[in-house]
Amino acid sequence: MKRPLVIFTLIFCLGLFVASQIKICFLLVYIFALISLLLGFLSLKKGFRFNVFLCCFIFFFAAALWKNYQILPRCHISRYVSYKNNYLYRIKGIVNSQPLFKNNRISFIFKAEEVQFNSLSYNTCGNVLVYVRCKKDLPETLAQIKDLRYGEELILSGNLYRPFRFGSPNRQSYRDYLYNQAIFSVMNVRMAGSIVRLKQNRGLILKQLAFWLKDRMEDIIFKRVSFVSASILDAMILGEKRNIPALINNSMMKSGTVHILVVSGFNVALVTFIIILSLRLARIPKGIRFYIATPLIIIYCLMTGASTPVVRATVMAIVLMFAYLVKREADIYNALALAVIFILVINPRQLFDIGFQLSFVSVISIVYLYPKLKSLFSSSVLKIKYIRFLVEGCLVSFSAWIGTMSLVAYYFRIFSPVTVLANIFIVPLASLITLCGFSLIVMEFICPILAPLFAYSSEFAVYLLLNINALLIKLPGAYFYLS
Amino acid sequence: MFNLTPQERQVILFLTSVALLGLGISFVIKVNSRITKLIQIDNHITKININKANLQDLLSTSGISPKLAKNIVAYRNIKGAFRDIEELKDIKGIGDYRYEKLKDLFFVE
Repeated sequence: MKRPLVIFTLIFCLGLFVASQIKICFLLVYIFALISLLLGFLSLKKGFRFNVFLCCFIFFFAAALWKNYQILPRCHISRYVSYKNNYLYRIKGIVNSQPLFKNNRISFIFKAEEVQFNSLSYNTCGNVLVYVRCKKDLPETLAQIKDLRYGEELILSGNLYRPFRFGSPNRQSYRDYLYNQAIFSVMNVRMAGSIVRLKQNRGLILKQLAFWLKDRMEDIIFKRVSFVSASILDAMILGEKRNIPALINNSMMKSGTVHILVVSGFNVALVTFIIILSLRLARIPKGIRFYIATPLIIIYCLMTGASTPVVRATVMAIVLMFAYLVKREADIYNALALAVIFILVINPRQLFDIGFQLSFVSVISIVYLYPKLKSLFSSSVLKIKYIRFLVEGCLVSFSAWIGTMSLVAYYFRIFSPVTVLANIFIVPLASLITLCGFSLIVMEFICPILAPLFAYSSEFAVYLLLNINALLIKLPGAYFYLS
Repeated sequence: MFNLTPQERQVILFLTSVALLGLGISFVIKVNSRITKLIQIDNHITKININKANLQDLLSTSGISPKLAKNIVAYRNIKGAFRDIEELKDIKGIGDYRYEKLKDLFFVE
């Protein structure tokens, strides 16, 4: 078997899927997994039988993992949500994400440690999505609360409830999205003035460093570039989409190029390339390069919010670099399979996340379909450098489009034939913008006098990107809404 | 002479090209103020012209329900056209809070 990890991953996913569809208790699945493991031990010397029991074990292990994940601890914060009484809850805990400020509202993920309601106090655990409305607050109070950071210990007072289910019953809703992120309750804090701030720096040091770096980078981008261009750069480089005008997001969705507005595998590959190249230019030996690059990529992953595509790409990049380091053949399918298992073991619900599905399906389509499609072209055509560049660009976009077409149509109810054409122009421009953005940030640190030149180039590239996109979606038959 | 590797040459070429392009744009903008449009993103790309938007355009905007979209179109049909974005407040279903959310999505022309 050339790629055992791929087979194991498929069985693992199947186990998760089956467990999510049938009603079966955890203990039964656990016993099946245990029996499979024991039988595997007993048939250690019998090749085929061992393989069968190993596959059974992976299947039942995945199912047990799913069932266990569905069971929340007794002290989980979502178990304290009361439907009968409208209690005022006081929760003590730490800020577990970077707070976002928008439309007079602050939102962040809060890791609960203690909950108090109805004059009783309990130890608790789990994440809560917190919204703080600042509409009634005085400007001074607001200014005080605006420097809220990841890792701060707070006491919050407000209403606690389960997320509402928006959208039609048979489709993925906002509540499903939050559940996939392991968030089972939401808290509304009426006034920022009612937040009690206790200690700072209680979070992970690596995460604190990542968010600090992110803040500095955002400051540079918004200082040097106009607001709309800065919002695009912010999304492409740091994965922060909150400032992107809704119309731009919509038009990118219509042209099927919205993937460039989030940090994806493409960005991680670019960052890895920049880091490795910089280290190579500094004449750092291959072995040390790997040990320096790995934490830097992980910091970048944390900076961008560790979304599924970024985690996938980070795992793949580390696996491929490690394979290169130990002089083993780097197999992209095995790296991809490892990334799937890594993400699903941490959070099995990610299997049903749209981002997870699109991310992996697009990579598999490119890896599998692209060489097959390329072989259809004669080698004499591909010998001409510029034609080869154009053909390869088209084929990569086409492969990804073919793979993700059905998922996009199902989830977003849109079919965009213009995607293939749009990606040929947009993806190289997006690469250029990302590189210009990184160059701008580096220049601001090492030579601020030159930074405006890089800012102008970045703005020009963003201007081109948006205008080309606006032009493409005006083409007849560029996109269709399916319902 | 400089003993540069191919990667070093590529990096230098990229950085100098970007800086040169930036320098060119900076010069053009200084010489002719009208050419600021070269990097300024047009309102039509970032916002919806509320006087020209059809029902589908309004529905594709986040925060606008089918009923509200119909109310906006009906208001426009009665009044002829919006003269100021603040007129959105006159439409049933748009209070101060929603107006704050919607005002950045539209422009009047």
